[in-house]
Amino acid sequence: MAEEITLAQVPLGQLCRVEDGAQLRLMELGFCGGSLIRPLYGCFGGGTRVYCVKGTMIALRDRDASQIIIRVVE
Amino acid sequence: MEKGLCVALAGNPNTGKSTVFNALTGLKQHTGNWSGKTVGTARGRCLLEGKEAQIVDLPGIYSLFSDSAEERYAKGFLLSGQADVVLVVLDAGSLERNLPLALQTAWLHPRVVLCLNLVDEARKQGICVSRERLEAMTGLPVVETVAREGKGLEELKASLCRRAESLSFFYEKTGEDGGEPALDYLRESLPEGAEGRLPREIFCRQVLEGSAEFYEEMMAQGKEPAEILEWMYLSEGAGTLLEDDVEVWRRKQAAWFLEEAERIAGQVCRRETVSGGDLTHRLDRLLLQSPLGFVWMGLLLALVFWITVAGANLPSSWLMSGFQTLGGWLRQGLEGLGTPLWLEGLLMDGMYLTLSWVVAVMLPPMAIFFPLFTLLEDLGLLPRIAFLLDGFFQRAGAHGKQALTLCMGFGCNAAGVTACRIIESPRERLIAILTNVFVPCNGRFPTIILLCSIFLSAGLPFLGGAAVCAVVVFSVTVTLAVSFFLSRTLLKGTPSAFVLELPPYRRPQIRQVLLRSLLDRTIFVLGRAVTVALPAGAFLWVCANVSLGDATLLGLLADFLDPLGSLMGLSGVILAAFLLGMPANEIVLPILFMVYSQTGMLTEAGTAQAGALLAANGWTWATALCAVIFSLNHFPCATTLWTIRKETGSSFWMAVAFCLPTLVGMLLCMAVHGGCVLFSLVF
Repeated sequence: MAEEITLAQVPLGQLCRVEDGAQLRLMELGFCGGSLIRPLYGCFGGGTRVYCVKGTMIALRDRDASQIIIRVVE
Repeated sequence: MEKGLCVALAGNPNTGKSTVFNALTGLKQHTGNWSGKTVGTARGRCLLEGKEAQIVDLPGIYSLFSDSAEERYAKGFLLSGQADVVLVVLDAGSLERNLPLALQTAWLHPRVVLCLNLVDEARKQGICVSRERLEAMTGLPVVETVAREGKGLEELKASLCRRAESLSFFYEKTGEDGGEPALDYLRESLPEGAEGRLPREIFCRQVLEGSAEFYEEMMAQGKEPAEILEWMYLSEGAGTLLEDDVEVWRRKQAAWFLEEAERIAGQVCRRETVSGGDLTHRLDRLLLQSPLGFVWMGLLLALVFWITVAGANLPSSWLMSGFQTLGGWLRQGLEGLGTPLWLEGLLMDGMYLTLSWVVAVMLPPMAIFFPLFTLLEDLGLLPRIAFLLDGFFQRAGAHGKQALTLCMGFGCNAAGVTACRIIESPRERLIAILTNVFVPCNGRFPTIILLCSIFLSAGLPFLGGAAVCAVVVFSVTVTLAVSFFLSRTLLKGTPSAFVLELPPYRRPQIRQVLLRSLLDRTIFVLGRAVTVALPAGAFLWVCANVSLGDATLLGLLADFLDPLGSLMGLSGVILAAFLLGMPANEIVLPILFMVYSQTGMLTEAGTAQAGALLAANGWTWATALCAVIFSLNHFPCATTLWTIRKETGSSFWMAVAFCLPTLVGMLLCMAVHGGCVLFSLVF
């Protein structure tokens, strides 16, 4: 059985699909069920990363990304 | 004059909405290339078919279902019916993400026009949007534009006029969201006609949602409180009929719009592969891979500072000579009128001299720094800088956007404080406001540079530059430390969600940006010169030339402050200079030179003279070090304090803004001074 991992745990460059988007605000930015997301860059010192979602680049802190449950796409 | 239309402009951030606004109104309000720039509404006028129409630019938002202040404001405005037509601006390259708001707007408002903007950029990315299909699928008129170049605007204006006269059309929401039983109940229970201008369906849904902005809007429309209370009571009853709670119901509605947007966008957009890849992605791959990103960012900011400082020198001396020449004529004139000596002194040596000093020192660097900074904004670099620095700010308990207000503060603290509006959460905004003063503004840089090059460079210009870099790093560190302290004590609380969109790199509208920024800054400096420098100059002259007993007022102040000054590694005179320099930091050194050379008025001194003058009055490298530290960590200037009062609406926080940095400065100076004394004792 696949373990639940959050967006914050996905390694850079790995494509994944959102299972549960949690917050409404994040949902509307594209982090909603079924969306494909790819983490692209991390900031200096870590804690925040840039994700490519629906063609847009959005920076999100790990504490917020850890609320988004995803499934890795091969 | 016949009453014209009221057109509201809505749309996601970064869609070029404000560019559309500028193009329609010709207002040339500055638009920055990152979300959060338009806070509050801008209003302008535009001629639509001969009649004057009012255009209201609503803040950029992502949806009408979220809870931020901007989203609630926009929703309230739409429900109020003030707008005759609503224009929703869409980025053709991000249609799927922009459509939900457009559909929600058309759901709530009867007359919506869609503006498909940035079509040229979309084409470059290989995205082709069919205008006709979009129109057919949404039932809304769609106009294609490239607002930056003025294309499609005439058609847009025509479409707005046509829409205003046409029949109302609401985008219908279908599908199951678990609200039917509750809505049925309300449809039957709510009194006939209660909905007023709104369609009954929308009215029932708003009552079920029970949002604050809806009730506020109804109150504003004159509904009786008793009536509204009845609706709230019915709403509670209806709420029990919902499958889950109101929050879940809202999310389901929002999700429906997202699915609709995905469905429509899928049918309306065609993506062609573009060779060579997207410029934005290529640049980002180069620039955002940390730690390289950190390096380029540091270099870029260093470049901006260097251009500002180096470029301002010549214009500053020109302005100064200009003022001196003008001053000479004014003096002749005054003497001709037979003005008494003391009055001439007050007017010319006090007020005029201070005014000319403030303008000559502040105007050139501001006129260079701010346009440069604005160019960075327009290019799209600022959100990326905020992202790269967010690691630090997170650990300091601060909001990521504080990195940007901090950068603004290097230009002018008052501008930095105003920029803090981009931080939504009041707690984090306050932290950003209170710590903005810890970075040296254009007014303090000359002082710091002079002291560094005289005392801390050992004659090597390269070391002087290194000292300045150290100063910048130091001030950012102090900012982070104080932010950390505040976020754990006075301003404790949970960090808000930091979500920042990184827009694609865009070609800046250079000419417009430079002109607008230049104009804004010139007006600001001149305004400040008149309101702050003139009275300060008068006060200063009085302190320096009026004697009580055998000491001037300034001398008495200096004596009074001497014990404290010595403890800090400074002297009473230096502290007095800082205190009297509160109206404008750039006059601190001139005040000092005034006292040391006993001229009774602000005095200029070149590097060599200054060095000699200071050394002759007991300055050592340790004194200079403490002076630089205090210059970085003391109360904000009068303009900044006033701005803080205005932005926070509270005298209490203004007082904190005064005391906090001063205390930090005093403690740091005492520590450094103590250290220097120990150092000299040991060695």
